[in-house]
Amino acid sequence: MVIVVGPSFGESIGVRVPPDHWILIDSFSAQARRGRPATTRLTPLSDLLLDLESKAEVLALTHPHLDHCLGFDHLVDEFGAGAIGCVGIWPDEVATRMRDAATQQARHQRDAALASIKTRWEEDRDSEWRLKAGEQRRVGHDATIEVLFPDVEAIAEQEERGTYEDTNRCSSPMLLTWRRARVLLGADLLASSGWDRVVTEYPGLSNHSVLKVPHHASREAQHGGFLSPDPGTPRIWVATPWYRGGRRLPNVAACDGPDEQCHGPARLLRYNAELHLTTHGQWLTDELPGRRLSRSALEAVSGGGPRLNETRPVPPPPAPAADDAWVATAVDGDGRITELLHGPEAVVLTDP
Amino acid sequence: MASPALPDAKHLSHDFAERLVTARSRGERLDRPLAVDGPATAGKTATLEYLHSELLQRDGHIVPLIIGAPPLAPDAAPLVLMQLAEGLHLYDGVADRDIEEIADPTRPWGEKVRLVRSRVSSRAEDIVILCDEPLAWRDPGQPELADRVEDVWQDILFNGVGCSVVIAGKAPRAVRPEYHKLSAHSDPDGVIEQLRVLRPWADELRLLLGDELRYFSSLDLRLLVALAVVDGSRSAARWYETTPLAKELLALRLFERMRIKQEEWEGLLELWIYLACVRRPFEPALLEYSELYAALEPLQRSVLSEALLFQRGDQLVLHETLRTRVLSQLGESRTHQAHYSLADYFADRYADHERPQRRLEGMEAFDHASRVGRDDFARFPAFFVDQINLLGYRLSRRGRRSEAAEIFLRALQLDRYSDYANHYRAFNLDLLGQRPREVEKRYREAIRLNDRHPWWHSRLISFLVVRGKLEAARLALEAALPIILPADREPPPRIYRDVHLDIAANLVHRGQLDFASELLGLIPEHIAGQLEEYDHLRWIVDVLRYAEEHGQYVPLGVAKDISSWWVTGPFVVPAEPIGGEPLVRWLAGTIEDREDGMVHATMAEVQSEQGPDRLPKVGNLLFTLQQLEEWKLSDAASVLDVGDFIEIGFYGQDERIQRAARQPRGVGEVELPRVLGNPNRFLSGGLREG
Repeated sequence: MVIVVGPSFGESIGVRVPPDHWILIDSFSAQARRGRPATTRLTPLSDLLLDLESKAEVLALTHPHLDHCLGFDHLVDEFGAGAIGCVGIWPDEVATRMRDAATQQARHQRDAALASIKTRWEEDRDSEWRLKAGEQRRVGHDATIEVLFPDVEAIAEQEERGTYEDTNRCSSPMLLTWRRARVLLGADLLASSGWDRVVTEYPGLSNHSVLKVPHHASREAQHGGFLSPDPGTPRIWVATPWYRGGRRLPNVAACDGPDEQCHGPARLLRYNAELHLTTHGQWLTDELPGRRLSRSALEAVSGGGPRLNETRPVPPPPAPAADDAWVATAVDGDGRITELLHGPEAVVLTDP
Repeated sequence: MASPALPDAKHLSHDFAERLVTARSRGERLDRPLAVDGPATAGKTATLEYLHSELLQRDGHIVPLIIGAPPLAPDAAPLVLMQLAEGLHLYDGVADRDIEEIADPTRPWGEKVRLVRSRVSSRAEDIVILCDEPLAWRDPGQPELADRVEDVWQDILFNGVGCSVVIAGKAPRAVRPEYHKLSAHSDPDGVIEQLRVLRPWADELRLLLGDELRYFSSLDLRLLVALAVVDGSRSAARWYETTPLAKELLALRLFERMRIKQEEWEGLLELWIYLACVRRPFEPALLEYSELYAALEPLQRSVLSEALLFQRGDQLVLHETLRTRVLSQLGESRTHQAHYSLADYFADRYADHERPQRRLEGMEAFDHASRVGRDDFARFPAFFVDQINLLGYRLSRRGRRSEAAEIFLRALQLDRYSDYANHYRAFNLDLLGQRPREVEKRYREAIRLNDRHPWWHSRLISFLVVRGKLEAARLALEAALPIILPADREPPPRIYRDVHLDIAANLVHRGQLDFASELLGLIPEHIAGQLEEYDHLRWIVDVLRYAEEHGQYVPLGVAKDISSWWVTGPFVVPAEPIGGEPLVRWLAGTIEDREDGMVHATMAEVQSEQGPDRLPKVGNLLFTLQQLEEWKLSDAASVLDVGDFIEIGFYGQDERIQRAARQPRGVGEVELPRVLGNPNRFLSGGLREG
């Protein structure tokens, strides 16, 4: 079972390997930012694990962007019972003064997430899982999760840039293999800075049952190496929309040009019949014509965002409740999809 | 050197001697301790000295022991215990083996106290302990070490060991001595008669001030004479007559005047500073050793010997007032050389095995060496774990944390049950960001050994917060509060500062605003008002939380009132009309992104200054850099960066005139709460061992 939660700012993935081995990737604390109201405090996956009285055998932070790491310290504290994955580049400087409290608070929370990871590594050496290409962890009896990126070079570049600078370029996609099922978790890695190297090192990535589409299905993150034509068996592709300060991902514009010129969804739908979004995000207002939307329908109601010359600030659309913004899918040992569930906020994009 | 003429002190000491000798001859004991009290320079210590020598003269069996420590000396208790031991050793009351045990730093403090107690007890009828200012031994700033003083008070001095006790100054509260007040006044003629070279200045003062001198203590009179030598008698007399509380200021006035007339008095000034660093009576040889004495002019020597120094048997002493007043004026760097040199002086004397009471000089050597944090402190003897702890404390205060941590480890090797050493070993490693496992273990051990010390709890909890172990921090806090905040009495405000505020500040740096707020909410309102840092910390927590939930559109320091900034603005674009057109709207916001000539901003706009619409409307704005140029941004659009605050103003009813301005960087910054150490100290670098 793969559960992807993404309420438009924040991404959290839970994978259950039978019988009851859990992997949690990234986290969010759905606190409001810049005028967006709060929803729940922490990823609903934490509530699920509490209900199940389960812990996470693997807990990983793909990169310390705010929409991936908020609340990760709480996950480590409450659910981390095995490997804790992180690239392991740490901040050292701290601010003594601040001008923008919102930014400062975010920085403090990111530091807290990294502090909890490093502390756990130091206190339990077995928990240390440095996310570096080729690193693997066994989950349960018959599953393996392998880190595809960053490689040594990318880590060195990130160290040069600094802990929090442009961390998408050092984020960690992973491949989970359970029996013959493969789940590709794309993190926020961009094509030019990472996927070019990943697909060379790991050919055949398009052979998967589930893909968490990298970087909110942005144009910059898609790569032919994992988008090759439908192998014949259905694949579930899930993306988590992202919204901040009037900017949003993905862009659902239609595209007639070559792949590289298309925004993510248009390009993705050339290779897969459906793209599942954890939330309809901010595109739709009152009207939701069923959950199955064609891209063109979506464009029709999206309104295109704030207009140029509009000097009245456009209020942000209401943030979806994190509890409602999810897609879950179950896969059998042969990689066949056995179940597909959508939260009330989720939508499916199809090409008309 | 002059001997002070203190008839009152002499008279009183004679009285005391009479009673003590008589009582002993009758096989009786005094019901309660005798005490001599009076103002600072009245001669209380001198009374003990007279009594000491008279007792020795009158009864060869009596063993009078003067014990004392400099005010607020953190090693007061070990010092006093060693004085008792060395004093008894002189009279064979303590065997060689005993004194070796007392000087053995591996022996627990309690055992040493018991040993001295038993030796005092066994000759109680002969022993008269003369305690100089016992209340001043206890430094409230060092409660951990001050508790040792209580041990000495309770187990040896004031709790029925059976020996006689005479106290100079106030006695501890539980002791009810028979107080005898000492007059502060002296016999000015007697004092002046003892002067030699300084006599003419004294005579002039007598003429100028007349009867007034009757109200001078011996020390005050001598200082005024010294001031007359430096400034002239008329000037000194005039200063005295026109200055309120002049007598209290005499020592400082003299010191300051010497400083001003440094050309003439530099040599004596330096020697005064040097001697101010000496904590105990010293032999005249020290003057030669200092090398400063040899360079003094004859008149300077006379001021030193006739005005500043007192004779105490065959030793000299600088009155405590002259020490402490001067030291309070000086930074550490000014006394560094003196302490460095004195450490060697006393170490040499300790090394001479023929010297009586040499261990007391060894303790002085260690104290001086530790004050300046000498690198070679291994060559200075430590007889008590407390001395080693004190060295660690002083290194720690100097920021020499690695060495401090090592020293506390040494202390723990001698006494593994020291909560102090456990805590400070942990604390220094903690601030270094090293050995986190050991840090936590030792913080917890310190609490196990002494759970009443607020810092022990507070620093463990802050450490857990820094490490990102919030659940553990919460549990530790819940365990600590009932112990350090007893329900039956109100704790002093400093506990809330040391615990609640310190931890809350660390929580802020980890983004844990709810927890921080909860902790601040536990501080009673009337106490919060007494804590200097409370308001700022509360404000910081509130603005961070507000910004997290609502965003922030104006730099913090520009609009400190988070609940009304939109009413008090604009802050950058003109509030005045432009071209006769009034400001009708203004937006404030933050640049979220710029890309391909487009600017994304989150902007807020005031809806109403009153009523339910008082909250600003927040939204997203997309505009081009070109538009920004048209709006005549006060600074070039090209410098606009993500995270910048901007304002846009609209003027005239049709909003025809638009102005935008960036709020300059560096403006509107506010301090984050201060915490001990870099909150990311354990994050930088590789994984920590241990």
